[in-house]
Amino acid sequence: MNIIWLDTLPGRDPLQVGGKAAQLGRLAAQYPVPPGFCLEAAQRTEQILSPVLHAQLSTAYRHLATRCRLNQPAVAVRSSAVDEDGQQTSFAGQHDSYLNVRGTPAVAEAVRRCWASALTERAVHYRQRHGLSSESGVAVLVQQLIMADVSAVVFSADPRTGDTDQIVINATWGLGESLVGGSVTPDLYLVRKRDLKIVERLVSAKLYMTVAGTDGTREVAVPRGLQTESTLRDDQIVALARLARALELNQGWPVDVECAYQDEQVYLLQCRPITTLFLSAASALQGTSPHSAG
Amino acid sequence: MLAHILSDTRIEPPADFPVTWPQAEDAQRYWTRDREHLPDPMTPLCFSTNAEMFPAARQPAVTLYDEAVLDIQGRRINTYLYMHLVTASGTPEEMSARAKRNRARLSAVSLRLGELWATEWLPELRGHFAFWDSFDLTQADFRTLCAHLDETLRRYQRLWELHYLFAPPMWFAIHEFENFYADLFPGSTPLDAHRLLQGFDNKTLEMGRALWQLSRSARGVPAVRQIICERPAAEVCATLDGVEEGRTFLQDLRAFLREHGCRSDLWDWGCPSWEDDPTPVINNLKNYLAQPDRDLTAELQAAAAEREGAIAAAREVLSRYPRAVRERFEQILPAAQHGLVLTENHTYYLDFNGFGRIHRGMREFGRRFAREKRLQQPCDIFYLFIDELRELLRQPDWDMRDLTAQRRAEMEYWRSYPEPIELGTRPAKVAPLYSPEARRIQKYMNRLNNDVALNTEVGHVLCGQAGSSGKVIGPARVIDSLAEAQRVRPGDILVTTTTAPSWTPLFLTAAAVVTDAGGMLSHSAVVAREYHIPAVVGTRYATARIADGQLIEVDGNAGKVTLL
Repeated sequence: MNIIWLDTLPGRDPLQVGGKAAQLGRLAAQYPVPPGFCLEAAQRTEQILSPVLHAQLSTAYRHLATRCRLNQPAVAVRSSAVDEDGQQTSFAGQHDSYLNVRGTPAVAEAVRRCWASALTERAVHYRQRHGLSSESGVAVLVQQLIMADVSAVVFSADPRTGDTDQIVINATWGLGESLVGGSVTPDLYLVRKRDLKIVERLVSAKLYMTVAGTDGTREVAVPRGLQTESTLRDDQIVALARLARALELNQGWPVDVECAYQDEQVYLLQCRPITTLFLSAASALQGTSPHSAG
Repeated sequence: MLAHILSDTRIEPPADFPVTWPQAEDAQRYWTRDREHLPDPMTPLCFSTNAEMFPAARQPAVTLYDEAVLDIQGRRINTYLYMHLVTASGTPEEMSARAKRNRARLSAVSLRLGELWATEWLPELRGHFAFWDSFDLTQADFRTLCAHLDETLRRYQRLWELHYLFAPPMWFAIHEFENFYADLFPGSTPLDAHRLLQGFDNKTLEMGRALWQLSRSARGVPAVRQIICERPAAEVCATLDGVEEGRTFLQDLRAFLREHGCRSDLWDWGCPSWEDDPTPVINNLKNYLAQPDRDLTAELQAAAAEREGAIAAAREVLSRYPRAVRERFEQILPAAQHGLVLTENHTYYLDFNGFGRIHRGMREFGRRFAREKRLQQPCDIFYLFIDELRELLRQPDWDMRDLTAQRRAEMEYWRSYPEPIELGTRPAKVAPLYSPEARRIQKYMNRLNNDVALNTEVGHVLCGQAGSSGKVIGPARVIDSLAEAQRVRPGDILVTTTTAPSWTPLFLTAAAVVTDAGGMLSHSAVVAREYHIPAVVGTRYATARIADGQLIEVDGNAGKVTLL
């Protein structure tokens, strides 16, 4: 088994690094994707890190530290299955991710848990339901964790209406977990795709945010004075919309982009096709929401 | 049924506390006491001069900040000051817009507190002081003195304007930080938040050190030490003047009084100042002379080091928080630190040095009238109302001796009377106002915690607010005025109605402080924290329930006093 860096050629191969990582690998050449490496996908029945792999992991983590210019960079450790991120399936949330992991021993432990969780009943059940092989390999992605000031999800087309001229941005304070996990009503910004004009800003009371602790993450209260402040300035809204538009052009289909601002720098964390877009558009036509069913 | 609960309540004063309102509609208004600043009867001159200044004095703040309290009306009922708040009103939309503007303006000004104080407010105050100090009160002819009075009153109003210009952003800065800290660190107490603000030098601490230093020089000279320790306070200065070493020491004492003598026990500038009567200073010296050396500068540095440690710990946690949080923290921390220093320093500059000069000017009239036998003694001038003083200036043959004697007796009569805390008509609901300044004023005037009062005493436990952390057991020393300062011995617990910065020297002797009035941000609590002694403030009944000498336990963290 090998260590494969995201921004190398093998880093774009879903058979080696899994769908999620390969997608990031393809983007890493052109977009600000945080640096990271993968433990190559393999059929796996046990969850023990061999001494050789442990040594490789340790070397790779030290190399990552140099690239991040940090002594012990915080990383996100996630599994990346070879058959995920297809047009119809999003694996968001299916395999556990470990955030804010520091130091080789902790990273090794997180890798072991990713392997283990790939084998859990929940994941197996999900794969079966979606007609996927239950024996596909799983790679593990170790990537610098961006200590996000603001996290955002950008849809290059409106998933609620199917309007392909409308970019939808959701943003909230801190790491993306409160946003993705749905515990916070995020700020909502609508941008017209053809001329990047901001057509609506809806600032919500964001009561919680996810922050990094000494290890792991936790959800904490947002101080009162900041709850109803806009997370993004206009120039940042336009920059995110421009990024989503470029990604859509690059990928060839409407995309769902996860990104983060840290110290004025935007990072691309995830880019997927909008799996529900055409379904939503159909539902919208019938006057029902795809979410109302479940 | 609801109508019954929500109706206004006419307050019936006790039969032996007759109330006559100067205006018919006063009975329909709600009048409360500010026992934190003015627990005692108020001198007629200070009361009536203040009453003349309002609402003009609040106008600049109301215009600039859209403050919620438009005017503070005062009535002197049986020598006690009762106050009524005139507050902004409007439709819910108007009020919410007003609150928003208030917040935006205060937020902007609070971040510039240190700069505005240094470049605008303090220089203007110094300009007023220079005006007063350059005028020779004792040499001026009577007509010039009368003209000087007019100018003094004009400047007095400006002092109040300034007071209301910097108090709102000062309170805003501190409250904003307290709230921010509480939100960021759930489970923390206001005492934790204030650890990040402590250990900065201020004029109160400076005075404490100067007085302590004076005690150390007296300690080094046996003759001086003996005189201060053994002679009654009233005779100390005269006796010192009789010996060589004493005269040298008196020079130091006078220098101290020049810097810090413009203050009385509390906030009524009609009361004698330390300049008039240095007894409180002498009593503190007596007290200090019995104590071993201590290094107050090192203690301040230790408090500063503790502060920096607490700030570093907070920054460490916040280093992983969104930048907006870190930036806000770094913005409002220094604003709150400036704000807290200003809570002490504004009292020194305005309430003491500023208003103290009004006292000096008035006293000069008193001195002249006493010489002419129109007053018994100079300080009797403060028993006149401002209109009477003006009349007196025009009527060269008026004899005010009987009137002022009667007024003095009246104040003495009511002093020991437990005056009602409210008069007039209590509204069904006292709505909390939108600005931090207005909420503080409401708090001073006991308009927010009426129902809390019901729970302040449970068995042998008095509940107040946690003012300064620590737990200590000691004998209670119930003190009414600074004249009794020498009764407080090391290890005693100071129990009193309220304290002003003039009381600070006692905090070096007392093991803990308990007050009837006040909160987390009152002078007693602020200074107790700086001196690292426990404090429980706002107990309401401590002076009434605790007997002098009784053993009590003060728990400054829980805000509880246990009678043992």
